[in-house]
Amino acid sequence: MDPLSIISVTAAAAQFVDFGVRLITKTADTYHNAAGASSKVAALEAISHDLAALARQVHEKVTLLESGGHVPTASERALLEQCRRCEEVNNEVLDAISSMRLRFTNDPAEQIQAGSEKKTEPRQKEPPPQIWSFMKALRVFWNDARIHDMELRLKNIRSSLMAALVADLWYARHFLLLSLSGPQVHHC
Amino acid sequence: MQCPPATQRGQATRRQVLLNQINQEQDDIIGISSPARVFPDAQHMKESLRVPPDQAIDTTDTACTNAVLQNLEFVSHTDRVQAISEAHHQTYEWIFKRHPSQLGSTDQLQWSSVPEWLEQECDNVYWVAGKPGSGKSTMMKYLVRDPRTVSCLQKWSSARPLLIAAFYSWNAGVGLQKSQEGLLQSLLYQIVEQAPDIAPRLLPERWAMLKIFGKAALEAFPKWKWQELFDAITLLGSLSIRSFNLAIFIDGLDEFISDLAELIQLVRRFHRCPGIKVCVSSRPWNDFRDAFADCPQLRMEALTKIDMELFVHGKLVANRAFKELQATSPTHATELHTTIVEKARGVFLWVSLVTMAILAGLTDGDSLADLQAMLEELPGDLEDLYGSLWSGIKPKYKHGGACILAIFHTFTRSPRSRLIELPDRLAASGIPARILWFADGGASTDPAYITQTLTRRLTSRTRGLLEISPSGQVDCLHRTVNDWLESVWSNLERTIPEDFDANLAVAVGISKDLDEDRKPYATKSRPELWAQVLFCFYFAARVVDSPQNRGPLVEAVDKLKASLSHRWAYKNAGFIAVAAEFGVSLYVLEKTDLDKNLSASAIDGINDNIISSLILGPLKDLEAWRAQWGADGDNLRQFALDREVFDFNAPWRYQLADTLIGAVAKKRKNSPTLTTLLSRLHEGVRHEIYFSDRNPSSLEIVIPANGSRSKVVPYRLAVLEMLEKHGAKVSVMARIRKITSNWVK
Repeated sequence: MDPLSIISVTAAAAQFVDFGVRLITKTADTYHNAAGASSKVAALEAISHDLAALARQVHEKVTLLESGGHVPTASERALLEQCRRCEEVNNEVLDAISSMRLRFTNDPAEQIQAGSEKKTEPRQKEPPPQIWSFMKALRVFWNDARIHDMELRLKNIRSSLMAALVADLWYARHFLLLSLSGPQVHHC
Repeated sequence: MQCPPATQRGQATRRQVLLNQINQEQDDIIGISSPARVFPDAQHMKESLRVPPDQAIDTTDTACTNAVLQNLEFVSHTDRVQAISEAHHQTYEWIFKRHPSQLGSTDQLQWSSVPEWLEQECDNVYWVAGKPGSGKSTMMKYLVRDPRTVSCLQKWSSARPLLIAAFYSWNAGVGLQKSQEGLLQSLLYQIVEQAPDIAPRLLPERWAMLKIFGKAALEAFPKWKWQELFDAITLLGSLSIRSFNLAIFIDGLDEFISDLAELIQLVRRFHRCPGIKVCVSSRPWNDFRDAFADCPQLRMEALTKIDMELFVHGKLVANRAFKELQATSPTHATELHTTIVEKARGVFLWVSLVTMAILAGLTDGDSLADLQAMLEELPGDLEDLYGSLWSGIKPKYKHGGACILAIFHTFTRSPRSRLIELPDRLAASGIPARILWFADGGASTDPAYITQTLTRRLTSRTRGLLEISPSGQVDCLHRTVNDWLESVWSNLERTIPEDFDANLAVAVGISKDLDEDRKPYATKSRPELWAQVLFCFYFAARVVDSPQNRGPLVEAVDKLKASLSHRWAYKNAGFIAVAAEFGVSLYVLEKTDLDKNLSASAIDGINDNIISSLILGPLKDLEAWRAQWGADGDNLRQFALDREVFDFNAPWRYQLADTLIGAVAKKRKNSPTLTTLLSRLHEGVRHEIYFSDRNPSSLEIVIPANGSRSKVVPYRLAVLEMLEKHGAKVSVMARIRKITSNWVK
């Protein structure tokens, strides 16, 4: 596999991971600036759209790589494995999002302005009355341990991606060397 | 790099693809992680995906460049240049002269015009040759920093931007300061610093990683290896990607530890690249003489006479006592002056040391005749001069001086130098001033006071042979001092007071440094902390057992323990066990009272018990170290695996383990814990699990056998025998194997 495809698939996966980590760790979210349930729904919509797009991006690259009919090396297999894990994460989070959406649309208290509101309004003019974030909303559906576990999983994917890319770019094709002296990855 | 050629080819093509891509469409690869590119239509993504600078993707180039620089930097890379003395006022002016007649002395000039070489395209490197101590480094530093050099070079590079990179090698220093890897790494650093745009082209792999993962990638990067550095430099040579001219100055080719022919080859390779020129300096060794015979060159000692006169004049005239003497007998004063310069025979260092000695004499009220006599007695040869300066130290300072030299020698000769990549001052060459200060019995902890007083002490007690650098390291004045110290050490050692134990002093110094350090701020990273602890153990283990040493040693190690206590939780035997691993015998004996309080610490705990520590030696949990600290852990591990560290006190460790097991067995009859421990150890040692990469096979210890005879047994076998003696359960298979092997014998 040429290094460019390797890099682009890694980049796609890394992007997905970064997005995911921010989604579940940030307490203030830029997706939601205006008040009201409808925009919460809109925010969820946007989030699920972006997440799915990022995941699709990963998926497309993987398909492209796998279609070549070439036998993947150890580091390439490691990379593809991480991409598969991204997909799992994606499915889980999307599930959670659809339950959240259901809740928001059904709860009359949350429903102030119906209809899909596009983000065309200037943002700075209306400061949010309270800070909403995806992470806070997610807490209702997932307990802290699960959120924490998800964060760890994502970070783990990121370090594995790094290790695999290092292995590919520096020690390509040294299978033995790879498995023995893969670089140490520190968790933050 | 020891890769099979096929792989190297494979890698080259991969790299080539990456590079081509970067060259053609930099954005495509570099902007790959920019959200706007991935979703050009989803504008809101750009906003929402804005990443805080401290995590994840950095989309700006400066962030990546800085990360590359951070990755390339090594701690000692500016140490050496700081330590080189500045040119004295008005000296070395001649370097910018264009005609030999402007140089004053015209006899036997070996000189090619430097400005002309700087200004023009030239097929050859410029070679600055000179005897040891003739001032090559000072001159190079002066040349590199002078604005006239830049303006000359700009004529050469004309419309293209000009970059200047310099490397000052230092043989007495640590690994990277004297290796080709260090040279390349430092050059790359300076190049990227001045021309950030080039970073992605020189280091495509690292750049791609940084682009994708941001600064987090730094932790995943592999260590710099020769091949990668060399490839990067080779790429630099290809003109198509470079828009600037580069002038490289390399000081002290003779200071490198690598193969000289290879080094010369590397220098030539640099110079052959269009738009790159190289100026080097070295001693006039044959290898260099042969290689650079046809190059434009100069000989320092033939050209520095005027500089020396300026220097001596400047130093002496500033001295009040000298001015008074000069007023009374001007001819003698001038004579003194000329004698110094004549006798120096081109060695600037000699002039500077002798001038210092004369100033010291003037302070003591010597007459001109006294000074003249002293000057005549001083040997002209540098190394002899050191000896004579040393013997001229005032008697009351002699002992103190010997102690300082002993501390310096003990510290710098430890295997510490193998920890070249440890990111801290312990890895720099010389000894940290604070450690020397505390080791020498200093009490104050005020940094300014330490520097001041230590500078004075070094001048009076070592005659300036050791000096303190701006970065707070005490090091030899010059490489020749280091050589001298090495050659006369066995004689010098005799002048050290008998009750002075340099190992104890260093151990005390390190522990006190750590202790003082922790009070205001605990900024040290764990590996750094542990490096200091390991060094302390290393020296503590070598302290001679005597009544007056024991107290201070135990105090020092206890202090070490105290300064660690809030950063490291010990289980069971804990600290004593670690001390036992490193064979710090005095401390362990003091803390494990064999008769009464033989606590659980001796055997309990899976890993943290004194008996395992004694038997297995340094860093029994090697893998844990490596896992925890990555590269830094590797580094510490290497230190612990060093023969010098591992083998030391092994017989003692063996003996104490034997005694300790005996004592425990007596106290706790048929203790299952003990039997389990012994069996487990036996199993591990027999299968070489514990010694896997420590290979103690060459280590032998002497065991007193029954009667008066003793036998020499390999360490591993001795341990196995001892464990069996104390009742370790041996598996049936092992027993059969043993019987068979005995039978075969």
